[in-house]
Amino acid sequence: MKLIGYHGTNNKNLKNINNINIDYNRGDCFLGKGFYLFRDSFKRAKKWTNYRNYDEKYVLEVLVDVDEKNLLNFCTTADDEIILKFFRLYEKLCKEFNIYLGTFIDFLLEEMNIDIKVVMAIDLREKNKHIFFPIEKGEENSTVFAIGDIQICIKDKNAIEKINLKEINGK
Amino acid sequence: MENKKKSIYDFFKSLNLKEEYEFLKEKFDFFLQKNSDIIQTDNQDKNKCVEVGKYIRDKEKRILCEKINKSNTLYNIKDILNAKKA
Repeated sequence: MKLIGYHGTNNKNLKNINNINIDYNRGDCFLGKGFYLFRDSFKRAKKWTNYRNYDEKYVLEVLVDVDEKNLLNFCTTADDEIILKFFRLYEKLCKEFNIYLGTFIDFLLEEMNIDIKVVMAIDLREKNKHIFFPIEKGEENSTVFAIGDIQICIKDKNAIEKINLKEINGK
Repeated sequence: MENKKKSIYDFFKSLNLKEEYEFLKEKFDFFLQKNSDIIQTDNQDKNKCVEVGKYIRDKEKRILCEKINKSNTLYNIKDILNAKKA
């Protein structure tokens, strides 16, 4: 499965895959440790750099190639049964300890030896404020549009096919 | 082979939570101990994650949609969860 994601940074050396760090960084709570991208949105990655006090700003365009069996995908209902079992286990193990979802994913990867190379999810965190937009089509056909950015978390650098560097306002 | 990596699908497809919970709990406790210096926790976020998990598997979500669909306004997750409690 091919994906394109964008990463905002002040480090142009990340163009070289060897310089990418997928170890734990404090704050990697959402999908756990890894290299984070916004799927299909150069603009969102660029916006992310605005929250940082960077002298130089870059966006990396990252081409990802991952087998679907190694992709933990929260952006489809095709694997409902698997996702529901995932959340049941998460709730049962993590409720007591107040553990982030990302930490639970890393537990599966590291301790249970599950081959997760990429995780993909829609960012529906509350700070986005307005995220659900219900559309009424009739009794049986109500739809709720979820408005959010799709985040990709690369957990295995082998899933990265190519990186292109795009400078925003470097000095 | 113990070291052979499993796919996400294979692991959860064959998972019997009732029978395997104690084993998984033991493994999880070990993981927490091993990474205790870097693992972060947060009460609020924990609650959100669990609630979203419950929401996803809620068979009555169609009714929920109807409840929050009374006016042409944008809603956030709090509105959805409040509607669920109503």
